[in-house]
Amino acid sequence: MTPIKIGEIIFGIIYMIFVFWLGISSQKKAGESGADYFASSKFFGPVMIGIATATVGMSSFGFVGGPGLTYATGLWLVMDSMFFTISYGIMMWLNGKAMRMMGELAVVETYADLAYERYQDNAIRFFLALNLLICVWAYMGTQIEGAGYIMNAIFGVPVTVGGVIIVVYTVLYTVMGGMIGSIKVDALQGLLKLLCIIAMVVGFFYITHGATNAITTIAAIPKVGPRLVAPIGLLVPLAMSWVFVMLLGTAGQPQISTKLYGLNSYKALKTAGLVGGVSYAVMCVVYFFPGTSVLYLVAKHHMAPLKVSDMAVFAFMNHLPTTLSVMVYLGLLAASMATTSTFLVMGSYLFTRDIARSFGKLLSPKREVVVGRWALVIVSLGALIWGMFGGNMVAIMGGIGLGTFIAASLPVIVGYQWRKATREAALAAEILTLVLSIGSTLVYEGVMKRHLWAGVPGYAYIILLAVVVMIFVSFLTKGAAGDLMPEKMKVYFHHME
Amino acid sequence: MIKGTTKDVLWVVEGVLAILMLILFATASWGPAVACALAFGAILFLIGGGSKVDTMFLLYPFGAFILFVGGGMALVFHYWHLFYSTGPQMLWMGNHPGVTVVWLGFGLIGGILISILSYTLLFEKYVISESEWQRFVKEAAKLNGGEK
Repeated sequence: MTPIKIGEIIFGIIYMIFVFWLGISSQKKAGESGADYFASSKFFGPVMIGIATATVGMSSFGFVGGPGLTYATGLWLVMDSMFFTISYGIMMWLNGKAMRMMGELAVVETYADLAYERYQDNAIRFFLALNLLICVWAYMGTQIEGAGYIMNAIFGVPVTVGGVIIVVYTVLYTVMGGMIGSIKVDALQGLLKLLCIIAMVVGFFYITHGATNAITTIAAIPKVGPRLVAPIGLLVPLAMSWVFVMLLGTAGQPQISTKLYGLNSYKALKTAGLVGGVSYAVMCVVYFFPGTSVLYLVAKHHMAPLKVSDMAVFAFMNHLPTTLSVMVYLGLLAASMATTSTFLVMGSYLFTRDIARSFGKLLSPKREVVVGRWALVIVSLGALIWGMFGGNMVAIMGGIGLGTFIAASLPVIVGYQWRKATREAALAAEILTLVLSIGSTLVYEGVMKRHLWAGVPGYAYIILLAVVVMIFVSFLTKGAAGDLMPEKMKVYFHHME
Repeated sequence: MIKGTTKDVLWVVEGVLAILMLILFATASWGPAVACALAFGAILFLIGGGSKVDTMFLLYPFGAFILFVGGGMALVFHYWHLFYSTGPQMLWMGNHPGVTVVWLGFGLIGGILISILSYTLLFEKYVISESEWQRFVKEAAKLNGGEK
């Protein structure tokens, strides 16, 4: 066994024990009520929440898929990831104050709670929850696959088995700690990811001897070289449409915004925004360093071209000294779990609170936690089966995730910024998102393998249509808008504007 | 500044921009489509600033955002076309000039120094001050009768 493998196994075991302890140490606090279990209301300081919001947005898709995509298609992804950074700031300007104010006005623990408080409509709550549930499953499937790749590369276990190990382990500490445990673990994992990024930067210079050397070597690859190093590379329709999608990317991800419920004071918003935003920006460099290093190695004929592009980050690790390799490995391990725990809690409350309340079912706070824990196990089992046996459908569903998240979030974002946003518009936008996510992204693009106009991914069109419906239907209808808004919302807008 | 009719107009502009983007993306008119996307993001920024938006806000962060992100995108397109088939004939900080613009213009300046840092620096002035928060909390408590 090589020193690298021994180091990876030792640090991996220490890490897993510590994470498990963080999860179970939160058990008592999380068990008090649904508010603590699902949202960890007003429990944490800004640094913890800032890092947690950053890390939950950067999953194994970023740490495994990102370098793979850069290796296969070039540096265009750097541009779109930078728009994610810009989006983080826009998210704080749009959602930060609204989230914190609603925490004072009403009992809001989930994103669907926000929708209900604004529009007072159970149908909107139901369709939003349904859309988010699709996204949770979509993300979980790709997350399990990504975790499987990581375990496969490190321990040599089959991808499916690796995915199962990570999910079962994550379920164990999440069931006990709920969102409180999840945020603590996310913060730790965020720190590990930042260390991993440092190792990636150092590793890049170790392998390539500098950007100039790397870029000139890659640009010299016959035919595709010039486009691989360009800011808009081989996938022009994707790169161009992602400018729009990524600008809304962070603002439209409920799992990031809802972490803000956990802040212990309104003033903490400003520090959380800075810590989270900068951490997120730093993590975005994952889209440049490993993928570019592997492209350089292939261009220099130091290694054979990869058969599976998602293995790029592991090929990068294999060319690093032991210390750097172990640091990257721990970051990957963190990435494989970070979003999983948040999505598990999210899936759990979508069942326990949001869908149940859509049908008028109210549980006591203690009962909510008990049912929530069981729901979490059921969601995990479903995601596990889906991740293991979904095959090609897992990748297809992965494409739905981000786009549907953004489109489904729009009625809430617009509703908390605009008095004239109406109940009818919000409902129409949610139904449209559901129908098109299934009909276009899943069936037309995924199963039938067809492309929409100009090769632009369907979810970009879905988001745009949801914007159009949300705004213009609001001008034609009146429900829950202006003077017809609930009293709490009138107070909210009085102080918001 | 951004409330009432002004806000209504801005939302209509967002809707129109969305329709334009639908058409422009579908016809592969990338430059205009991206310009609309940036305008869409900039208006969201303005709406997030809300009623307290004043001339200073229009300079920083809003004006700076337009300048660096809009100008940056123009440079990205320029250098992309310039070195499309030949590869970069010059490197900035070791990268294709367009990629360096991405790092500095979008990541460092547009992202960290403008959209993110402005929220922290201008929180009391444009987001909410201590006295405003206290007034809000008092009214919220009164409305809820001590309970949510």
